[in-house]
Amino acid sequence: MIDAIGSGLEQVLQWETLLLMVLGIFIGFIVGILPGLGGAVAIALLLPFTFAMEPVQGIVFLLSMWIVTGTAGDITSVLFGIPGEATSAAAVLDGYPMTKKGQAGRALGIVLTSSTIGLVFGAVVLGVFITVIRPLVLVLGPPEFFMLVLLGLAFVVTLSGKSPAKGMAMVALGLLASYVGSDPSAGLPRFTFDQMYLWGGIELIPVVVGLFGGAEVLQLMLTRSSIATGSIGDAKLSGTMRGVADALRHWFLAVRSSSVGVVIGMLPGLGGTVAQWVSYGQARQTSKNPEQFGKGAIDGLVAAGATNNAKDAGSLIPTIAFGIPGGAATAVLLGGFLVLGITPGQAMLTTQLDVTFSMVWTVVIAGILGVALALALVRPLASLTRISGTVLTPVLFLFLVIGAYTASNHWGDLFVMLGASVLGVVCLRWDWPRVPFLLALVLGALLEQYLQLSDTLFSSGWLTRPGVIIIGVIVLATFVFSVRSVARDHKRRAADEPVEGPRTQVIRTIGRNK
Amino acid sequence: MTLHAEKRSVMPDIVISCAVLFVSAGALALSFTFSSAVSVLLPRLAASLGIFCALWMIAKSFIESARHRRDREEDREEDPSPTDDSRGTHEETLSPDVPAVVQEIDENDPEYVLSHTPRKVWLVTLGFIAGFFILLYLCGLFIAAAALSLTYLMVVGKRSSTFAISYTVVLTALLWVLMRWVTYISTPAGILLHGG
Repeated sequence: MIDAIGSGLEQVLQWETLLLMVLGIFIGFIVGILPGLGGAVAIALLLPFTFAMEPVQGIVFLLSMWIVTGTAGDITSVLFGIPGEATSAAAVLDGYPMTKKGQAGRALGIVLTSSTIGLVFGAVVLGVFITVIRPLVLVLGPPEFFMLVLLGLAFVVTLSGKSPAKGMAMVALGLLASYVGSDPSAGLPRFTFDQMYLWGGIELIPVVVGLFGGAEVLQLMLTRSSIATGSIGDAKLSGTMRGVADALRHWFLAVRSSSVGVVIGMLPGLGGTVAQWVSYGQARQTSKNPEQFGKGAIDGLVAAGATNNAKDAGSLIPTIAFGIPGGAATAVLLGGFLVLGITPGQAMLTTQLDVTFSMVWTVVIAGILGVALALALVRPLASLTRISGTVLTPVLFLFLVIGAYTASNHWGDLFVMLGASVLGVVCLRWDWPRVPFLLALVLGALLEQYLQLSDTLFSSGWLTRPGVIIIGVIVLATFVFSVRSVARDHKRRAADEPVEGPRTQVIRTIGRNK
Repeated sequence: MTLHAEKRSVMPDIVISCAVLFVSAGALALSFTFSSAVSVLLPRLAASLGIFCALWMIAKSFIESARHRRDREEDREEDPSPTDDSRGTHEETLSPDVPAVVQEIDENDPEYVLSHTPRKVWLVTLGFIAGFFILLYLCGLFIAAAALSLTYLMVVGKRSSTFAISYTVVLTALLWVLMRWVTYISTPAGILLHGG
């Protein structure tokens, strides 16, 4: 194995391969910054260029591009409030409020450092466990996956903010939206209102772009000011270094979030969209200042950044070990592997272990170089947030339209984006949580799919499988812990915010001060 | 919280809850029209959850509203002088004592921005959005992008025509190069100009 590790590194450090890596990093950076154009699109577009390359060169080129798109996606989320990718949405919640306070440099420092931690952690897990993970993952079947999806939904209570009732109502809406389209058993349409576009279900990307980005662009159009209104100080290197220090101070949270990212990232179908919210939810649950979440919480941003990159390494595990892609990007990547003559499976863990380790090294080196590039560009990137809102608006508007339209190249995508924008604005204006809707939209279809499979394969016997029982206990514990955490927040708020009316408030405030 | 503020906090919740109730009840009713081959278990559970939560929110909002009204009446009985109309005066006179709580207004707060923007600005903004999408439908992305950029910069941004035209040309050209020469990603085509 040591030989394979060394050989993998040697193959990556060839100058031709390194040049291709740098090219991939630049392309990935640009594609990642553009909302909607994620890693899957980038790999699909550039796959034909790898046909003439050596297998390792082709892998390095594709992988480095894909890895960097996640990091760059976080930058757009933090600076403009528009998720660069669906998996970067959690970074909007705390990164964008920091940018609006004039702390763009600090926010980027936090998210980029936590991304690096996530990336290195994910790569280490990938390298260490890939040879032993096969029997472990084979233990999991549709019933266990169903329970894992339920586990994701259990975090909704934590992500609901002040009102669990509002959160659950948004979950119901999200689930209903996820059931639009063909049903998984008979393939017959449900809730499609005779619209062909809806037969394929509601696309996720237009929803994410609209729900988060649409509402932010509207605000920018209404205020007509620049995004950042604070002092210029935090756009400087000192602000960035402060962010780096913040992230390092929360190293344990970053590692914990990375673990969540790797584990959920390696489960086919779940992927990063779910991992980021589970991770964000656990960060909020364990935070000393949960009320700061959504207003610029450092721990929230650390969790989002770490998960976003760790999940990429996680999703490579089933792709390499079984040939089962964890998500859309790894599905296209798998196609690339096959084109390059690399067949995932047992051989990748035995005779071609050096190729597997060249992938691990690529994840580490390309990821760190991508973060270094982003850190070098923090100043000019952060200064974009000082540009007048009226000048930025046309560009951001195009981001929204292109980002949404790339989902299926259909006008329906734009209507979905507009609908999601309206929903996002309503949620922001009247304090309804957006995240439970998104989480339910992602998980709803998976929930139904795994339930159908479990029922078909095991009848009712799946309920007694040990894995199902164990995960069921974890789901229950998470739910109870979440409810307790919400109740504790509620009590704390009730004690700290006696806002019944100006006069009552004055009396109570004075009384407390005395 | 004033009467006005209280109305703002309760009524929208009731309206949104009613919308959730309508959607969920509609979905539940619609699920009974599907053929027996269609899976409806989870959609029905989701719709039932929506109905339950919407009713919960509506009941909670009414209870909160009643409690606020009772508290306010109790306050009035204790000191009948302050009225809702005197709220501003009251805050001003007492402001030194309550700096942290009452005066804390974050102008970047989305709720504040969305609720305090003048109607005229809202109308102009929504007009631009509607205009952009109509033009997008008619002429396609590139023309709509150019038109939005030029008019928005000149009308809302109050920029000089030289700046607005230069910006528009660069933006549209970059967009064209990115979409047509680099990525080959299709863009929304207009019904009048397919290449636009």
